[in-house]
Amino acid sequence: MPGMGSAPGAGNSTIIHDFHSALGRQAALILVLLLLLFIAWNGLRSLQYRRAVASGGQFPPPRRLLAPEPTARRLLRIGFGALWIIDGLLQLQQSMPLGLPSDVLRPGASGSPEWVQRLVGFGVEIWTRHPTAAASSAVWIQLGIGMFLLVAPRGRWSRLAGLGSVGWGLVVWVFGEAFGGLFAPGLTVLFGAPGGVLLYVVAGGLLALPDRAWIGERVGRVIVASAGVFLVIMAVLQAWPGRGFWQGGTAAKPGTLAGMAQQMAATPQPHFLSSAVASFASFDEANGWAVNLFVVVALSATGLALLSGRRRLLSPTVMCLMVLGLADWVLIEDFGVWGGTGTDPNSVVPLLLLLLAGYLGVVRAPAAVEDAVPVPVVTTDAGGVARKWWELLDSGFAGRLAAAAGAIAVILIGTAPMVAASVNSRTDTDLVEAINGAPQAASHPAPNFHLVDQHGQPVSMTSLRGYTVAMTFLDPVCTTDCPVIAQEFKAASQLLGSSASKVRFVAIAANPQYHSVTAIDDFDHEEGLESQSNWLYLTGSKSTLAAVLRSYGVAVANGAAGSMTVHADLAYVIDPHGVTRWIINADPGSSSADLSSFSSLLASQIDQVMHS
Amino acid sequence: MRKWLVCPAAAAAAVIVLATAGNSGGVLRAEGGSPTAISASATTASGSSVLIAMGHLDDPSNMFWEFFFKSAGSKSWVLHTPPGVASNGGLVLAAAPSGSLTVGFLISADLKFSPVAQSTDGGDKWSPGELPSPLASMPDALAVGSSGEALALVATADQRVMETSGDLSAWRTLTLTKALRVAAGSCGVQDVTAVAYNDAAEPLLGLRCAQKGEVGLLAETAPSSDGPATWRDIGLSLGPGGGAAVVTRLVSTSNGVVGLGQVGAGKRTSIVAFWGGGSTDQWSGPTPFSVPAGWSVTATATGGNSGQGLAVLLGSGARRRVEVITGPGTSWMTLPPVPRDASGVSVDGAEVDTFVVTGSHLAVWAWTPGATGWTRTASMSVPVPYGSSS
Repeated sequence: MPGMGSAPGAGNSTIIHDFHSALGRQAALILVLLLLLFIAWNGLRSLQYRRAVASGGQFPPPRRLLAPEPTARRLLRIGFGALWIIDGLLQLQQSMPLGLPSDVLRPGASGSPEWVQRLVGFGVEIWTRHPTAAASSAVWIQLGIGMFLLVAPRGRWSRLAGLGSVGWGLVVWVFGEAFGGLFAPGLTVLFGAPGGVLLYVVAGGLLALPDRAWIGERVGRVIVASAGVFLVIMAVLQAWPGRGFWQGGTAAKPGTLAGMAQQMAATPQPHFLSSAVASFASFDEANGWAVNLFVVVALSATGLALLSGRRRLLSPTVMCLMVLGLADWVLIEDFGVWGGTGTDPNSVVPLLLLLLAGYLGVVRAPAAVEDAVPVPVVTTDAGGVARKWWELLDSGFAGRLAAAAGAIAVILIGTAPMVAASVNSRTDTDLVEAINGAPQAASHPAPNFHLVDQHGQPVSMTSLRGYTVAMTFLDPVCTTDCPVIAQEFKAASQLLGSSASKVRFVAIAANPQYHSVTAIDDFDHEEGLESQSNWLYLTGSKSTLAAVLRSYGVAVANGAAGSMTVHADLAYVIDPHGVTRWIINADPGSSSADLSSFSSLLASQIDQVMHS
Repeated sequence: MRKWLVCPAAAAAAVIVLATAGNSGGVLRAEGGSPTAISASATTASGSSVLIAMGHLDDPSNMFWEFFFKSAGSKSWVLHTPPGVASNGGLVLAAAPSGSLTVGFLISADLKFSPVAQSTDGGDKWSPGELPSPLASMPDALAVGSSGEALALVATADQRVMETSGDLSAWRTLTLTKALRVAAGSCGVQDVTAVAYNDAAEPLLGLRCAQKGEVGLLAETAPSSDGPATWRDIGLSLGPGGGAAVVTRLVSTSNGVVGLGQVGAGKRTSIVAFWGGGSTDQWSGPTPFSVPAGWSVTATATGGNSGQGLAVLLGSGARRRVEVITGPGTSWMTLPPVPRDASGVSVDGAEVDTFVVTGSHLAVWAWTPGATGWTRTASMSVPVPYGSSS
């Protein structure tokens, strides 16, 4: 119905069902792969046992003695592994397929310059056209990276896991966080600058460093000094005049920080949490200047203390930052996970993890000698015969190897649909089915009519025999749905490629007042349809049109008081013998993704009729 | 700090500070929009018509423009919005001296050309027509002559005036704005802002002038055996110190052409009225009044008294007032304070109506000569079709 253009909400049951189905299929595939890996691991153990029995060797093979993982690295690896798993689990929320673009991605980029919005828009477009594939991909990629980090403590596998974190983290930072708001006004560390996921990238980069880089205090000192620089920059930004942080608020409008906190407090969440955040917002509104002064002083003092490199200042500064960071996380960032589309716990937790890793890197730096001890490996059996590589694998290493392979498989299973979605020009049809329901099959003859086209030439349904016909009813002076449906028909024609020459896309005028040939010609001109050779816009006298509309069961009525003509949005797919095969509800939705989803559905139904 | 940390730290600091500081001081650029309001009213011998925006006035998809008509001699306004087209974009009214009413729909949402509708019975029945381009958002972007011929000012990239001999679905281009620049050399034509027919049934154009001191007006000399149609400058001088002027209303009445102009000189804005036949540069007026700083014109009405009266509703926020003038040789008169939130005005004889909209509710308040205040004369609910255009 014109004017009723609707969009599937984040809670749309069709999309949620499809999301859960996709997750279920992928989970089954992952289980099968994990089972195969377990069988392979068990098979390896059996082979090792048989070989050991046959050669009189030792079973199980002795554990290789490796230098222990530096504490700082372990904290980063386990901490960020856990964070990726939490993020992956958050992606399981049922609002993600439709809610993430509208509630997170677009608003996140809205304050940024146009080039950032365009870049983010590219990601949004892919996500909105393929919501279930994209959402399920994000789940598995993040769970996979988390698992990979957790199960690979040392060596190149562990470094590869770090690189995985860097790669996916950058994707999320650019498309999901719009560069963490770096180019938008109001950037503040209190609210997540420079983007929580950028810190995952940094941590991933550190984990990807060669093992020798972790010997001594160097990495720890770099982390601590970088944190100091970062905090001082954030202090400068916080103190910068004209950015709204010195004002708590006016009668009409809260200040920048109070506004942010108010926004977070409005997110659906347990009452005691929202009231705590709202209380802070009120406090800041009343004491904005004092709050900002405290923040600026705290950031500068801790930043300078970290930059000073003095060991005795390190512990109290880190302790102080832990307390302040947790206060920020609870009272301003509001944990970052509420509202149904929370994607991660925001920036404080990863920031504190990095800071702690830096601290441990300084105070518990591994001595160089630990890594220098060669690990003894016996490469021959009792008879002096060289042992094969798989015989040397100890059970712990083999288990971790299998687990790492499993994690990589999870990442790849997640990545595949994302890649497929990004190169697929046809939008998922489940979007439009979420709005309109599935197409309705039919098998009755399409009623005949005698009308004229946009050039004044007579056209009847009988004269269209031999062509597959996609037909709808359009009001030439409609301001909303009809122009959109016309564009959907045009896009469906393009999707059909060369087959489109065997199809006639037909619209019949659906306005009792405005149905002249001039009106439909103006409509064609407006919509760029005048040059589409398989497009026919038909009209006739008021009574003839009324009879045609009746025969197709389409009710049309003029509304009062400035409303447009009301009619049902239906599309018919009619086979070359004049038999109606499909009736599709053609409500075009409200986004470009809904639009192209309808085009995909229409093209697919036409394809089906042409090849049946 | 170690030396090797200085460079990246300084670079990061510079990038972040510049990026953020660069974004924190955005300045909105003022758009050069129309100075006119499209809420307009006209009174002819057959009755009075008025266009009013109703519904959610802050939400374009739920704001609908409505057409009300009051027959001559009647006190009742009746809703007669032409059917079949969403009116969210706005309406433009042309009331011919003969009594025919023509309404043009301004474009909105995905509609890119302007349907029109014409009635000869006060809006009971409407005949459709289509202008192949978008009608300009000006109160007098449409004019209908005594024989049914019509002019339309369209907002295409090369702003143009279109005409038809009577079939509202068959329009042709009369002229482009750029083609008028030589004809109105002393004006410095920026835009055409109003169309009408003069007392010789020739097309008459009101202009926005870049040059100060002149109200720009052009009349067409019909083509003859001596040559093609030409435009002659019949502009009106504002005298020394006059500012840059834009014609905001230009209406043919049974007693000649009535016009309104808006003149800006520095921070001061004034409204001027002028009257004439529209064939020559002989005009009565201009008769000005000064618009208070920060106020703007909300609505205008033509056709009072013998057709030459004008009313202007102007204001800012809750402060509104109505100025009326009865014809050439008279002065502007300020009426008693109008009801809060009045958004339309109509003048019929010496009586003035104002219209107050609250959502889908319309209240009519009337002022009669000598009265010290406004009297509420009608109240009605309009079936505003919320949600039908979103």
